[in-house]
Amino acid sequence: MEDRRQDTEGAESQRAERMLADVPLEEEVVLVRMDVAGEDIETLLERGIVPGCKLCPVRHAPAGGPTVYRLDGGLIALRKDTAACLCVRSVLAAHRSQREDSERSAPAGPGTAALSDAI
Amino acid sequence: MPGSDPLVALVGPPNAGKSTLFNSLTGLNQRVANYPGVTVERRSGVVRESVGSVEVIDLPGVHGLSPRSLDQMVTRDVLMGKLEDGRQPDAVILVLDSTRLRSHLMLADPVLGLGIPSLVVLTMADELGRRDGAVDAGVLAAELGVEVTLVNARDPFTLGTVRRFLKALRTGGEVVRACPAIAVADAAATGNHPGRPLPVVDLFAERRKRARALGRSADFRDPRPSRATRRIDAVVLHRLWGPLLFLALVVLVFEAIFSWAIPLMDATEAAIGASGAFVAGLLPDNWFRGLLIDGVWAGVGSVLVFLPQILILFLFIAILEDSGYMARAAVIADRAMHRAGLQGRSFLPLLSAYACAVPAVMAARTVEDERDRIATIFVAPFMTCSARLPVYTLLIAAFIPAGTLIGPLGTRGAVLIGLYALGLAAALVTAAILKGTLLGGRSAPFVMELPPYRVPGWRSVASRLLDRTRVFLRRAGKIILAVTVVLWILTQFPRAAGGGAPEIGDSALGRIGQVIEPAIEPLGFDWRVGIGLVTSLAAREVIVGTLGTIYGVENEGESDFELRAALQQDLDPGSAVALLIFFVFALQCMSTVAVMRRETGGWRWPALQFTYMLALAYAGAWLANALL
Repeated sequence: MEDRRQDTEGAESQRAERMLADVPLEEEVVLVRMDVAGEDIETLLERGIVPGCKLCPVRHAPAGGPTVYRLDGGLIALRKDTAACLCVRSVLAAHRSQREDSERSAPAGPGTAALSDAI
Repeated sequence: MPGSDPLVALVGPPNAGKSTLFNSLTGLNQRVANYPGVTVERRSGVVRESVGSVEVIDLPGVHGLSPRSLDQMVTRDVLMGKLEDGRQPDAVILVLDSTRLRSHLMLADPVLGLGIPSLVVLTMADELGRRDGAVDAGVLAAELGVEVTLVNARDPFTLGTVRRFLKALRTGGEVVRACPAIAVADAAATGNHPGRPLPVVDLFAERRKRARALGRSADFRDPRPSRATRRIDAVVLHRLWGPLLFLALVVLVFEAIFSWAIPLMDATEAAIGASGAFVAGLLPDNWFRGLLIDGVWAGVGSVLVFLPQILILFLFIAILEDSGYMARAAVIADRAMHRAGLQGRSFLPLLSAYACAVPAVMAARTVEDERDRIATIFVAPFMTCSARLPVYTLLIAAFIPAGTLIGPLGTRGAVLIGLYALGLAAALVTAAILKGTLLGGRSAPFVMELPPYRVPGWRSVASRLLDRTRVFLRRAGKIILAVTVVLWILTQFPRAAGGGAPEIGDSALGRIGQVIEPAIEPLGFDWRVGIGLVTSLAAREVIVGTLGTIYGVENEGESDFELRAALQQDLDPGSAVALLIFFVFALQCMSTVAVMRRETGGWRWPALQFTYMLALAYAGAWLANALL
């Protein structure tokens, strides 16, 4: 019974994963994975866009331009194609996932470590 | 005395308040030069304390020390003692924005890890407090192992710890080195470590984790989002008002450059003319007076006249940048720029290019993606720089009849706008071609940080204008001076039968013009214009002075009118338009070529750019001459 509940929660949090470009305005999300190639990833990492960081879209630039996100007390603009490479989870789902991890007491990988650190 | 004084480097992310701190510490006692081999500017200043002086260098804003951009490369090399004549800075002041501490603390490990005596300065203390944020600098200091101070960089009363740190360097007092534990933890990132480096994502995840742990220990509380910034952004980035405001500002900048600057330019011209006449009156009538007044004074003066325009442009740029608007402008422009294969960051260099392509090429280093940066540099000279203006105004006044077109817009104004539009179109089409061919491939992600809005500080604006004046005067002093002297000498030899100066057609310069005449005949130009084209290869505006000299017009005050009349006799409307088109497209500016070579690290791009623009200019001029 317990196992089944955990499986359902795990599947839910999996489903809660989506791309940053699809997140509506004012919804805060946690970055879980970056599907960005090669050296490009460093451009994002250096600015604090690292797995575990919280991002919140606050405004779309005019005429389909970049979207402005709140990140660590500041504002940062990303194009849609970049945001479409960043896999995020809602803060709530990330909380649930963290609880699940602690319940299982599984050893944490680097991505999970960063995530749990952020929340 | 610089050189023997202790050297302190200011390091920090962009928009952390580094330059504000630098200005507060050094006042206007600063110098701008370039690092050898690259066009990254080296801003240095001297801080005079009661115990002696300290030299402070303001390094470019960086997010890390990996050699991914010119700025990061220079910062890393300076900190490792590879620049500054092999001298490692005696100390580092790491400047971090206290309102963005979570991200900015990620730079602490790579910088403090170098083991140089360091002080961490957390700026924007006022902003942090106002927005209910908090941090315990004492605890952070204990965690980092170096002193940490919370300041408002514009307020000298908050800079006591910084000044004490600088004094301690001078007196040999105790300054704290970075914690060795940090040095070991992050050595892999700076390449100092023989061991296997961490994968990049893990490295940054570790750095962020540590930054967060530091923040937690120091009771860091994120400030709430700035209400003022949110309200202003609601207008500035509004889907309707945003672009309208953007266009209004661009028009305002143009209006300022081309209308407000005119009285200042007239005054500059009058001052140059009057001072030249005064000096001429003091000297005996000989070759030296000819060289000094007709060569140097007239030549350098013809360039100095543009100083007001350039200063007005940079005044706007400084205000727009310091207020936080420029980053928003880049976001608004990104979509349109992206279509042409460029990006939002290219907007500022291309706007600067309307004054002068040289600072534009240098400003392009803010474009991180290498392909986008090269494309921006490549197309910047197509934007109508102020050096083209004297040529445009001369030819338009001579060949386009004055008349009203629509409302306040006259025929001459319309032609001028058309020339600007033609340059812009050439730039965008060229960028698109480049990004589809030589510079093809996927671009790096566009990431633009938007700083909170702030009232620009007069000190920062003033120091930038001073920088620009110095850079511009140096340029006028070197290149234009050399060209005008050579040009003048070529008009003086071989000497005429009586030992005097030859007729212009018989002079060395005239002969050169006659040699190239067949090549430019299809464009409708004769040898006189040909000489103008040759001399304008050094700098476009030189053609006006050259044509003035060739047509035997010496009186500065009457030159415009007489030159116009002489041109009307020599050129027909077709060849006049051809000359205008030639100037829209051709890369006649040695300073741009030189700065481009430095910036791209070789002759390949400048050679290609020169050839491409010359071919376009020739074809365009030929077509105009053939059709009209």
